[in-house]
Amino acid sequence: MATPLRPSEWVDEHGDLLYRYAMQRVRNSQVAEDLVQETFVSALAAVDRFASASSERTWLVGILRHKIMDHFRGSARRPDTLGDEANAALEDPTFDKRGHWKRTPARWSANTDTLAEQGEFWATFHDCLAKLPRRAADAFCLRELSRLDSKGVCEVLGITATNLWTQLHRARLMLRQCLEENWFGRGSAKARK
Amino acid sequence: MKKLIRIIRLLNLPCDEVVRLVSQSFDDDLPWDERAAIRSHLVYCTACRRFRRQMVMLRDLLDRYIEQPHLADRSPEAFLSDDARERIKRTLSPPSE
Repeated sequence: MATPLRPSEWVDEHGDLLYRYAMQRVRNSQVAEDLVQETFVSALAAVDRFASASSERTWLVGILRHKIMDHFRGSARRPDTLGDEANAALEDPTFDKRGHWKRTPARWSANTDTLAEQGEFWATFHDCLAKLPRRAADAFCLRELSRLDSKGVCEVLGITATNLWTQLHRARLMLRQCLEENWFGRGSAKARK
Repeated sequence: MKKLIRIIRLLNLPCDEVVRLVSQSFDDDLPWDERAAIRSHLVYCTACRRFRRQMVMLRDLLDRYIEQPHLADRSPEAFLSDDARERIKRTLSPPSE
């Protein structure tokens, strides 16, 4: 059902939800706040174009989604947090020279239903995400949190498919390692050493 | 002949390359021979099998996470700060004379 638009109440009514939506996808409170603000400003300017077929909230989330894409759009042009050259010079932490695992991945035993409800797990996840090189993290966020397809991510980031796969794979390997060390392996880590 | 060489190479891929293909299979449609290479490697390689299972689990978890914003509710980061709230309201209110 369509609701009458009340811009004066937007912030109190939808602010937290939009902020949380942005936080889940851009992993930075400053950026998330700015995106929410931009969303409301754009919405206000476009009030008369509001299609009353959708709810106010759905409409606002739609605008926010576009703002999130715009935020990532400049990403490929900005320098990476870890230079690629510097990174390549480092020894591969996961595989040896013959391409074998240096350490066998652990068995992650967890019930996904219960785990997904644990705020502590998501805090760990976001800590791990924050440790990734920026480009790898951006690619991962767009693909796995904003759920764009590969083509969509490439368009937003302005990179080739091959480059995208490299970034995503890098992100997955690093996240895997970090989650195993800081969450899944907490019990067995002591036993190993 | 070239095809055969490619298949033999694919069936002997080391773990790091298999895992790269596993990762790519989440984002792209792989040709049949690469899919077969993954499958046959995973039959005998516990480490790569675990990697794949972990990634599937992570996607599953993320599915739930993004569909349910309430999952982040308990963290202090789940709410717009009062400062931001005031700032945004000021931006939205018509300029006072």
